Amino acid sequence: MKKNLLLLFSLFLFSHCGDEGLSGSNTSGINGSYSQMVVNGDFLYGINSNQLTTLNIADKNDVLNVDTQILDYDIESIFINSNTMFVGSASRMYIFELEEETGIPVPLSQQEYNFSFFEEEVICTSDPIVANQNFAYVTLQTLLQDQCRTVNINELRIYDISDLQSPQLLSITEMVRPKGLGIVGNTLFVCDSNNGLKIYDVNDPINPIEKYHFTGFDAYDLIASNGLLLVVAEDQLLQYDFQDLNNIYLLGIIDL
Amino acid sequence: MKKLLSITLMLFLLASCIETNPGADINITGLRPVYLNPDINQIENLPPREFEELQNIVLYQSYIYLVEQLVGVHILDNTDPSNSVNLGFIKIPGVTQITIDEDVLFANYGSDLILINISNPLSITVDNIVEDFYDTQNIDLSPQNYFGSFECPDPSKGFISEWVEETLFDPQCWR
Repeated sequence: MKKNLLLLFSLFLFSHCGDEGLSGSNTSGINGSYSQMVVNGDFLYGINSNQLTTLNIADKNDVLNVDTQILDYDIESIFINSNTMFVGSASRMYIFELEEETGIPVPLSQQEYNFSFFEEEVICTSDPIVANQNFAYVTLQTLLQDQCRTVNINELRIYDISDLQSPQLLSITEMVRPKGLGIVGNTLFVCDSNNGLKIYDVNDPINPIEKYHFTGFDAYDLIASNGLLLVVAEDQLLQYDFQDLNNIYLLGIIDL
Repeated sequence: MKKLLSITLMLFLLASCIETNPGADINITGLRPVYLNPDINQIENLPPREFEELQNIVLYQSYIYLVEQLVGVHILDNTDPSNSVNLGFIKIPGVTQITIDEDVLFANYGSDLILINISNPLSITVDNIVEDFYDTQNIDLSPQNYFGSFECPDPSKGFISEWVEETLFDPQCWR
């Protein structure tokens, strides 16, 4: 009996090691996809308008500025998967490799979103990125504007990033007003503003299959980790259980 | 100062797609900057409060930290996700971004980054400040993603935490 318990316990421990979909561990928090500040090991990465700053935070009483790089304007989000960092700006996706010793981001590639319809002003309010080993998932919510017309772009894009130096666009899915997103295994969670939350099966990244569509709230950002999905709506926090992908259900709404 | 002037002038020229000031000598709807002058003593624990405009979220162990845009951070005990408990609030004026590592909550505070010890989230202390983490010298201080009249930003008045829409008289900046 004792042996069985021990076995159960070790299985339990083991099952909690496999799920590292997001850049979090016991000692650091798990961020939503809109993060402009992310910790990875001894380093904190922060973005501000057009700057990417690296701090060494190994000693919290003696934080050191390690590196600052100038990027595009309107940088919106940082996401880190193992030693690869993705930075989303209004017009492109940057990919960096993080140097193991110094933590300094080394640029690998820049993927332009190519909105080349006309000589435009690009107004972009949200382009978070999440990624795993092979694919990057980006939501674009962009307004192109010139003197006489405007074009709205609201889409989910999936890129093949097996070659980090040359990401390939695989698919575009039209959305209403996409915002934060998260990937766990082959399940993609996407906030779509007042169109609620959509959950896709992305086993085939060229053809994402919509599995769930929860509505009735204005979804802004989310965290998906260990079978628990947290969704930030404007003045609400919703929680879903997704341990069984065939039965994702609402656990509760915090509405204060 | 000369450099600042020439940068301002350059930005002004770049920004002025419309040649003449649409708000010259009249009342016009536009944006006014709200200035923040950080004072570390303003950062404190408060009782739980209502959600209004939620933004950044961080899950840390069994706690959820939720940014109330420009006001502070809600702390929730999420030990039982079907019954989360709203524990309290950390007041951080101007906050938009947080992250957490080893019981330290990092938050933007004006142009600085502050490190708040949350080993007891209901009794926080500010442990360290990284000054000028955010560059305010070399960036365009005009409101982003906006076309119209606005009151010209003046960095000497403090850190611009937000822009609010108002009726302005004779605003000198526009885009």
